[in-house]
Amino acid sequence: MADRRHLLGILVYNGRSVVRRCLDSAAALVSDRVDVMVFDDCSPIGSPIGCHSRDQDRSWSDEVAAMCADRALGYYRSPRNLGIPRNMSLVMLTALAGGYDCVGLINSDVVLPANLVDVVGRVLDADPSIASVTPWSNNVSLFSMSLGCSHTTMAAQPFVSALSAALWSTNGAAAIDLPTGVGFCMMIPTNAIREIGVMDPIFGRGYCEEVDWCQRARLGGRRNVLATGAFVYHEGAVTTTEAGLIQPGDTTIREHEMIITDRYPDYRQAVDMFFASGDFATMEQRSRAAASSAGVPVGLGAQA
Amino acid sequence: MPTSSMPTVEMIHRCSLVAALHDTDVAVARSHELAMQVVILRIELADHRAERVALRAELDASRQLHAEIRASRAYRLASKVWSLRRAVGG
Repeated sequence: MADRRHLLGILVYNGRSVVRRCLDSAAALVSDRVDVMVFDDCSPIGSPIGCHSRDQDRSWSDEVAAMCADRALGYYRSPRNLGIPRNMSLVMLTALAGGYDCVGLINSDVVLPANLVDVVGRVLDADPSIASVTPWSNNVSLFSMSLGCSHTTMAAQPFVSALSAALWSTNGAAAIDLPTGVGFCMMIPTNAIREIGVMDPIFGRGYCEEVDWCQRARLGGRRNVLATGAFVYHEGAVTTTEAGLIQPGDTTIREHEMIITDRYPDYRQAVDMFFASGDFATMEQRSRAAASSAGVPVGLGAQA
Repeated sequence: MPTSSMPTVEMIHRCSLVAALHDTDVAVARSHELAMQVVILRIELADHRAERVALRAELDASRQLHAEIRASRAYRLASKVWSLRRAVGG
């Protein structure tokens, strides 16, 4: 496998209920080839939503900085709130400036598996034209793996790493072409950033920016793929809900969808064709069965 | 502690500044593009308004001509002939 340097950038905005476990899982990946850095998008000073009384006088950002120091992770707090797309761009530009070969744009409401960097590396080795690698997840937009277990079960580190290992055993570096990568955990070789650029700030505080980026990559002849040999737990919509970007129950921002449709009229059709091919459903069924055979309690129905 | 290869705060500040300047450039370019579109659309609107005025004048002239024809002796005579013809079943 190529000897790449990775920067995993974790995007934080509040998220008290999820950040600690995310940092724990990320800290386990730190090595001489992997740096992890939190990009705190100027979380409000003082008591964030849902905090407990004993913490109310303490700055959440200070707490995150302390958690990072404890885990040998980098920490950066933007002096003002950038919004998700520009915070992602900052991670990408930092990776370029730091001479990294691959950068991960990672939401704070995820739990990363032990094999994430290895699997992504193998996938990238297979094809230098890949622009983005999205690992599989219980909550990865339309491309989710349907699991019949609770979020409490799925968010446990042993479950995430065991399922990911089982998927690696079955699927190896197999990658499915996706109509778009998904920004909850998107791994990008930095040479693609040099070619394609960063996120478009037109998407304001977020939603659809990664779809736009991936379509630019596709039009430039690059691929966006799903790494079927890695699994990342994703709670979903924590950052965007915390930021007041979407209301509970909503899943997107209509105006941003309209920009995508206007810029890439064939995108919706590409999504329809992706599912019509049946390849994804076959891979999902096979992977779930393999994980179950390996003793990972994935269940067989929809998520509880 | 973070590894020595980890990006420093100063480095990220610089990246952030570069990104902010780039965003500003993009915003200015888009504002300029939108302003140009507004100018072009205003010119088109003025053309359409002028065309509307010309068409209205043409319509008024046509109506005037129509009224003059209906008021003419020849038209009135023709109308009477036509009425008689219908009356006799021709």
